[in-house]
Amino acid sequence: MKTPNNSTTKNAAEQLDALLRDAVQQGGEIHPPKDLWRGIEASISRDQLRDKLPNSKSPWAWFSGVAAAAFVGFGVLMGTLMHTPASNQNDTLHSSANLLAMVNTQHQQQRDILLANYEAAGLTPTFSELELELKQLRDAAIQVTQQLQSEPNNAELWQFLQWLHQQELDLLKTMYLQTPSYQQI
Amino acid sequence: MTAQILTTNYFDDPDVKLAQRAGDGDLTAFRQLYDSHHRRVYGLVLRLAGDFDTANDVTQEVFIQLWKHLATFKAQSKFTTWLHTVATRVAITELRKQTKRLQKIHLAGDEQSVFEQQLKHEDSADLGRLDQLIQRLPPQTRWVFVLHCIEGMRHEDVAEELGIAVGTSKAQVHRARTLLEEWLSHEDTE
Repeated sequence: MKTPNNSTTKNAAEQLDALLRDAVQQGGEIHPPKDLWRGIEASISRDQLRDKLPNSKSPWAWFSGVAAAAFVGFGVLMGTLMHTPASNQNDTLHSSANLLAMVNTQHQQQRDILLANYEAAGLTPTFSELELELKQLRDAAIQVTQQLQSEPNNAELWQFLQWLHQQELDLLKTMYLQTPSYQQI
Repeated sequence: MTAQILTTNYFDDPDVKLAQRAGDGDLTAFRQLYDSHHRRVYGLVLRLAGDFDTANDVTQEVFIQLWKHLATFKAQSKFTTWLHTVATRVAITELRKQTKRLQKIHLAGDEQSVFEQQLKHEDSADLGRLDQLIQRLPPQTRWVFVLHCIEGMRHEDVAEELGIAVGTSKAQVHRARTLLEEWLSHEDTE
């Protein structure tokens, strides 16, 4: 390797000026090696979704509120069931069956609203491996519902059903909102 | 007269209408703006960042921030001028954060920095000669050189944008030129 002398230094300065002129003339455009729009769109959609949900600051607080209301409902039901005279047992069973149907319907409505909001925002579930967990939660909820029809006084089962419903909503949140990072996209 | 010409130009700027629609939440209009300008933004960001992965992330962040702030675009300047300002600001902010993170990593072990350098050089094969050389400049020297020598910003504006003195900006350009010329000389004599 030769040592740079004055002429090569001058030559280098001219070369640099020429390279700079070319860069400026080309308008500084460089084509990205991959599609960047998908990540941008996903981020915007996520923000829009947060704005659309009932409590824009913390959408999940809304679901927590609904869950808390349901919990109070369970408490009232359990109190009623525990202190009901035997003569009214059939009526009480009928009431608990109605409440069970109402709880499941309410959960289904929450889930439908959640999914509809995600779809409106253009989001799709990311982690397909979580689908098995989702199925297990739903199967368990069906089994607990069946069991509650024959054991309406079982407070633990009611709490377990509530827990299963909440787990399903939390899992859906994970599947939709944990979108891949820019690099994964 | 000048004001009339400027007003006419901005009125005719097709990006202004798109920007206003996008500011009202029209994602299709925003996509059109992205399609028109993302290569220019990517060019700026890649030169400032010095590597592709960072440039990809920062370019996305630029457009996300742009979407959030479109409502503040008042069409008092050309859209491209406003875009350039936002892109530069977001890019520098993001790159500063990254530089701090990397400094912490480097303190933890120099092997990481060697690995990063190797990655950068592997990526740079796709770039032009000038851009390959720019990647080798230290971050702040590179930012000043890119903004002043390629983007055509005045030293005063570069200094304000980067939070440095005007003299520092001039000194950084001098340092960048010296390094780049030295590397070009070596390339020729090898």
